[in-house]
Formats: sequence, structure tokens, C-alpha cells
Amino acid sequence: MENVILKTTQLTKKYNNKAVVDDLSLEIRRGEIFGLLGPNGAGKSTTMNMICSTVAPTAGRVELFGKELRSHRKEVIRRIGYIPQELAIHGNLKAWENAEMFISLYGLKGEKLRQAVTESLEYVGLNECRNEFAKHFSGGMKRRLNIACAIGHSPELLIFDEPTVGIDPQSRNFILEKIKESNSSGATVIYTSHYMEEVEAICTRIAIMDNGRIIACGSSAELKKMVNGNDDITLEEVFLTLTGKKLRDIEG
Amino acid sequence: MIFYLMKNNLKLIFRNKFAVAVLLLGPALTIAMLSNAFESLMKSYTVPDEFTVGYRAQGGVLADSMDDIKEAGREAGIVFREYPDGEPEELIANNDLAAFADIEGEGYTLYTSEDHKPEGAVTDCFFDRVVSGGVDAALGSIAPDAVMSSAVPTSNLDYMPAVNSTDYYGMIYIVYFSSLGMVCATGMLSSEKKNGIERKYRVCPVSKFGLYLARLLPTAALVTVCSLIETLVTTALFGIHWGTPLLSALIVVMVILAGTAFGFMLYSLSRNMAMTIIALFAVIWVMGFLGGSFETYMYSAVSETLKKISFFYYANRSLVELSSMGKSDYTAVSLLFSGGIFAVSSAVSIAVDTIRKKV
Repeated sequence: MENVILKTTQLTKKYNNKAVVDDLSLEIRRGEIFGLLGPNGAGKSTTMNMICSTVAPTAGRVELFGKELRSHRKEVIRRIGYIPQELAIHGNLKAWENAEMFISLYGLKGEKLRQAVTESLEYVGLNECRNEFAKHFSGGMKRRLNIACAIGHSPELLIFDEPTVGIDPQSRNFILEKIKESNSSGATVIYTSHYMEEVEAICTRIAIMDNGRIIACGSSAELKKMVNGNDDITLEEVFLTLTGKKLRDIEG
Repeated sequence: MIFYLMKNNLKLIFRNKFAVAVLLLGPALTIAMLSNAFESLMKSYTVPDEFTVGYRAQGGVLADSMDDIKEAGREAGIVFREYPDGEPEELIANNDLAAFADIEGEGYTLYTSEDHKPEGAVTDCFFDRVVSGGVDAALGSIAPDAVMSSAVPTSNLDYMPAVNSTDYYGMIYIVYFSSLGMVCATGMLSSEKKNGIERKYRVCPVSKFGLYLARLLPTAALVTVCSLIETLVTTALFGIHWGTPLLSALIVVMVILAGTAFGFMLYSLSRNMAMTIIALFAVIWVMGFLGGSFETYMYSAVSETLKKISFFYYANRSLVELSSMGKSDYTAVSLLFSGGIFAVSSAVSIAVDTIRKKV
């Protein structure tokens, strides 16, 4: 079994000759919860999109599970669960219908699909309201349903793109616990967020991106030592020291 | 894999109650309104099985062939009666003639009555064939006698089918509304765009073709069911006479597929629902105008060339002729035209989505 789940080599994406992601080389190992931090416009989302093959890189390559992404797309994409920042669910479908719709895209059908739908709804605590329309759910419930739709096919790599935006502390805590639980069950996790305390609480390794490049990478303690010589500062202070305090208004 | 996607897309489309209601109620209301409004007009356009045309022949090829012309006319339901003297207008009025032909040399002047417009049009068409047959024959050095007996294709004369306003608009508006079926998919497509589901699909191991089918087929299926319900309801309410049921159904289903695929293509190109709906309605309105969806294609002032641009023309004409004559030479063209639109629109949609994804 390959130890490196994801490897990017000199990954670059340019828009109008401007590099949004610049020569990015990165390795994520099996069993990690890898946090990707960066200000707006740092290139996090573009990196995620290239890893998920929704955006083609200008240069460089992405290897997932030891296989080159472009030439083995269908094969490797089955092993990924992608939880987008948007609530990618249909309000006019019931919870179980949403889960069925998205989980079935990974080839599950019949009894296996029904079982996967029930298990994933149970996992996020929504099985009791499986027959309710998603449009009637609260923000936190929608976020959890969003997760249920992406984990039903038991992916080996889970990609969370800011999954806790706009929800209450209880829902946030629930989601973070579930991410840790998934990781304990063997899933590797890539996690992006603007909430430093979340990243610090769950990530085993953190990369800070700015201007399309990774400017620092390591555990929370390592990053703190890198900046301050000891770990007497918060991750947010590390982040601001490395990326500056200037406002970033560009979308990343 | 796409079965569940199709099933849930169908639910999404079905739950867009406003669009489904429009599709269900639209044709019934329009048929009731238009068939009522055009009832007397359409009645006046009905051609009887047999009618009388007066004539006066004063020398020339046509006059020499009058016996053959009369024989051909009898087969076509036109009884020619000679009136050597008198003014055509008075002769028509006094003898209840449908028309009067003043034949001289190689030409003729046709007088028609306002009360017998369709008979006049049929007589004009008949003489057209006779004259063009004669010219062709002259060019081919064939004796005029032979021309008259073989070149007047009485059984294939391009008659306007006799159909009343209810039958006409009853069929035509099922076709017209069916072609707008893509409107039903707006809820599903808007939800996909608004919630970033399109992006999520890209991270799933499902092909562009599969995704396209999963959107198109449920839409077309729902529109087909709505059209079927609508057909049954309007047939029961208004007594619409459809022709060969299977062939008529096939024509309508092909129009549904063509209209839906065309709508999806517009959406693929614009990625804007409002733009798509405006463009779809505009194109369908123009095609409907040209193809006889508003003014009947038989009597509209639109030129024949422009009519033939519209796929509605072939579908409408085919359905009307199947209803009134039991057969139509336009059925195959209608199916091919709709099939062509479906194939080209589908190919463009998939190609555009594939290219866009690679950016």
C-alpha cells in the first residue's frame, strides 16, 4: 500500500500569464490530516481544484494514490470524497434523496447504495430526518448533509473545503469530531479553513500558502518555533507574521 | 450509475410545480381560445368533396385539351361546366360556381369567389399543374394529348387538407408547448448552478455524456407524460381528431427531444437561465410563426421557403395531414428534421461542457 497519498510536482496554474499557483510541490502521507491555510487569493482553491481535476494545471503534475491524475482520472477520483465550500445539495430533494443521488455517482446501487445512504446519514446524525426536504434544514444540518453526500462511498482521501463556514459552534464541533473520527478509521484528510483554532485542533501537519507558493509547512508546534523560536504564540500570529497584515480582497 | 441521478433529477423537475402547471394548462387554454377564435375562418376554408368551376375556352393548347382537363378535374372533384358567354363575376354569382377559368391560348385567367376561397385555391393549383405539365411536355416534344393524360397527377395534387380549427390548433399547440419543455428543467439547472453542484459532478467518476443524459431524459420524459395527459384531456374536451396515433405520437416525441435538446444547448452556451429562456421563447416563437403555429400554415402569408426553415412546419403539416388524409409525405422529413436538431444540439452541449471543464 502506497504511503504517499498525494504528490504534486512543480504544479503551476497561470491565468492571463499570472501565476495563481506557482511551482507547488507537496506530499501528503496516508493517515494525515493536512491543513492548508492562506489568505484570500493565496491559491488554495485553485490547488484544491487541480487536485480534484476540475481545473487543468498549466504545468506540473498531480499524483494520487501513486497514479498520475490525468491519465487515471476515473480510477483515482472514485477514491476521493470532496466536500465543497458551497452547500452542494438540492433543496427540493429530501435528505436521503440527496445522499442517494451523490453516492450513486460512485457506482453503488441497490441494497449497497441503500445501506451506504443510511450509514452516511447516521454518521452525520441526520438519519432521523432523512425524509425532510433539505431546504427546511438549518445551516448546520445542510453542512452535515453536504458531508454525508461525499462520504457514502467510503473514500480514502477526504477533501474538506472550508466545511464550517457560517454554522453554530455545536455543528462545528460535531463536524470536527467527525473529521477526526474519519481519520481514525483510516481516511486521509485535506482541510482548508480560515479558522486557525480549528486547523490547530485537528491537523497533524499544516501548510501556509501565499502568492501561489507554500511558505511554511509543518506541525503546529514546528510552525510556531519557526516564527518565534518557541511555541508561545498562536497559530493566527504565525499566520499573520508569515503572510502580513495587509487586506487581501482577491478571491483565491 | 446514472439511473439514480435521472430518478432524482426527475423528482426535482416534477417538484417545479409552476413549470409543470404551465405545461399542463397552457395547451388546453390556448387550444380553447384559438380554436374558438378561428372557428368561422377555418370553416370557410373547408373544401367540399366536389365543386363546380365554370370555363370559357377560346383556342390554344389548353382549349384543345379541354376534354382531358375535364376528365382529370372530375377525378380531382372539380366539375367543369362551359359558359361561352357572360361576365365571369356574374356567372359565378348566378350559377353558384366556385370559380371561373377564362382560357385563352396557353394561359388562363382564374376568377374566384370570396365565398369559395379554398375551392379557388384548389382550382388554381390544378391549373398550375396542367400548365406546368404542358410546358414540360412541350420542352420534351411530347404531344399535348399525352401530356393531359399522364402529366396531370390528380391523385397527388397538393390539396390543402380540410381540417377544422379545433383539430388544427388542438394538435398544433400540443406540439408548440412540447417544444418548450426545457422550461421544466429550470428548477433543476438553477439549483445545480446556485449550489455549486456542477462543480461537484466534476469530481465524480461520471462522464459528460452520462450527465447530459441524466438531465435531458427526465426532462423529456416528464414533458412527454404532460403532453400525453394534455392530449387525452383536450381530445376528450374538444373532440380533436388525431391521425395515425403511433406516428403522431412519434412526431410529438421527436419534437419534445429536439426542443429540449435545443434548450439545453442554449443553456450550455450562455450558462444563464434568464438568457436561455428568452432565447428559447424567441426562437420557438419565430419558428412557430413561420411554421403555422399561429396563423395556419395553409393560408399564412409567409413564403414557402421561409416556412420550410421551421421544423414546426413539417411537424404541423404532417400531423394535420395524418388527421385529415390518413397519410403525409411530410412525416419522414419532420422526424429527420427533429432528429437532426436533437443530434446537433446534444453534440454541441456535450462539446461545450467538455471544453469548459478543461479551462
